[in-house]
Amino acid sequence: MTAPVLVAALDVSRRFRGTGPAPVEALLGVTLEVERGAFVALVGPSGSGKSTLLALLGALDRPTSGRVVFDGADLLRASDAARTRVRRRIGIVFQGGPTLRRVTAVDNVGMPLVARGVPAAEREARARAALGRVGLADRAGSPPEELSGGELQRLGVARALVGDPELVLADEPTSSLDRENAAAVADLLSAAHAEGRTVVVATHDDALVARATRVVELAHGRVVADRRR
Amino acid sequence: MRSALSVARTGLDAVAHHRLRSAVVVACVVAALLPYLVALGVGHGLLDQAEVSLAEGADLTVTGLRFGRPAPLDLAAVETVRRLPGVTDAWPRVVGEVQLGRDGWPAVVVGVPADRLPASLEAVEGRLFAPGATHELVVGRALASRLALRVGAFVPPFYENEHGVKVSRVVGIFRADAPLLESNVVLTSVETALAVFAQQGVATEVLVRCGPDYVPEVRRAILALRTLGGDDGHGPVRPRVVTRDDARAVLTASVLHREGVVGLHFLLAFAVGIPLVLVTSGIGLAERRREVGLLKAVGWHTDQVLLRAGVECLVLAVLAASASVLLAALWLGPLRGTGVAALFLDATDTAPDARIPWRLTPVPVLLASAVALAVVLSGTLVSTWRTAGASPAEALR
Repeated sequence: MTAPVLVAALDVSRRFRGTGPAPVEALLGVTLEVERGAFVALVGPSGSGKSTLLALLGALDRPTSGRVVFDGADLLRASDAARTRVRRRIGIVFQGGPTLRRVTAVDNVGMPLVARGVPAAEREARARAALGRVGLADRAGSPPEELSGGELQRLGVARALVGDPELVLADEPTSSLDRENAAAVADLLSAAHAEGRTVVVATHDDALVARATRVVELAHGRVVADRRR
Repeated sequence: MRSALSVARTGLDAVAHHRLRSAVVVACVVAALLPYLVALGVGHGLLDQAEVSLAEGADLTVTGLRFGRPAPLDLAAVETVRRLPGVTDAWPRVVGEVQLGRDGWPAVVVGVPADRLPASLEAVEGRLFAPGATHELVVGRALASRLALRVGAFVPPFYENEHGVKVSRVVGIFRADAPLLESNVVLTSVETALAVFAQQGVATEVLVRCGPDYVPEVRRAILALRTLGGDDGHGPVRPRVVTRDDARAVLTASVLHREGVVGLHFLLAFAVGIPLVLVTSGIGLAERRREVGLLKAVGWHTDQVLLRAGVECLVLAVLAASASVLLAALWLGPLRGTGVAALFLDATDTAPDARIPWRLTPVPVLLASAVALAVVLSGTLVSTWRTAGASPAEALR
């Protein structure tokens, strides 16, 4: 018996205005259903549409056509507030580890909890715990400017996990890291999966792909292969 | 509620975290707001001063016109006016300009009876001139300082006339509630003033006090007089009467006109200032866009993002308005409204040792604060709102 679908992209296309006269077709009629508890790796060359698909699954963007359904709710027709509520059930590790500059690591990690009305003391405790999980307990008071690339990426993982999300989306989480840091981040994502969370990563990292239970390959905005393990 | 407070707190933190961005926005608002506040301060100070002068002055000021030009009044006119029904007092005043000191500094000699000096006027050194005494001068504090005149100093003859060369003596230095008087006025008796200007039996104007509610009637009666001049063969001198309300209207209109001119510049400055703030806050525009995208991506509602930006704007506006008011007080006080005061006053009144009247009232300050808030909001909140309304992926891209 297969697990229920948590998030699905149904025949989605996404077109962007490019620098030239012709639009850029980032996704062309992609369908992907992600079951609860799955660890899905999206692979494919740069520009194949991995990040765009991840943004659609995470309610960060809207498709030009097709539908994205999260836990039965159609995100295309959802209001901004409803999409925000969905985003609160998702933890996202962004490519490049964007942060709020000059804000301490603990406050950066706790930022998702601010909007949810979590009391300051609890927020700090949860943020410190998340930082501890990613090995950054001693950097809690440091601003992002003082963190290395690997530390920033782990901070991004801590921020994604602090809200206890059902779905974790990670966009190239190990791309700019050395082997040791990449392994640490991969371990964190594996741990999140082991805790029962659904994980979808877009990656070129074979070591990370090896941990996935399903590998979906994209090329030129289309799914060209879908392998389950 | 707790969530809103926490979100608002992050807005406050954002001001401190983005010091350069905050400083640029505050500096832009202050640059536009400050000259306006200084102008308002000087304008209100002048109106206050005018009010003091008017309160201590006469109900009616009578001057003479001959062929439509100002002409002196015969001193006998004082008695004529004094006898009119409703008049409680009338006295002559002689006013004329002279040049004093090596540099020919312009000053105004005012000759009045000793017992008609303004009540707020006091001698800070020496004494006021004595009734009946001649060639005794009482000099304004700023003017005395500028010309290095002390009590007991002799002032060379203003000019020689048919009565011979007369030397006057400074018997006192005065201060007044209307500080501009201190900067260019020399007070003396009517007789001395007439001697200074080589005149006899005339006055520049007659000042009149009336009984309660008699002002219109007395005004009509004076205007009905055929002539107030002596029969010197040059034709009659027709009376011209200015009431206290007329004078107040003229003074107020003059100040308001200048305030209006400054206000127009202020509006123009803000018209430029708003885009300026928009552009200059471009220092942090990309960063703000990324922040908004990130906050939306991690589960912030659009209204929470706007609340955060709104609190940041409010804090910046309060900082900008407070800084503007403080700097305006500094500009008006120790720096004496340099640059702006000259729009309202002539060079004599804005000389380094003259006191510049000023007052910052709450209403313009609050109004200026509101405008500051509007500018900062328009410069920040609009861009935040647009970004928050777009997809987070686009903002983060």
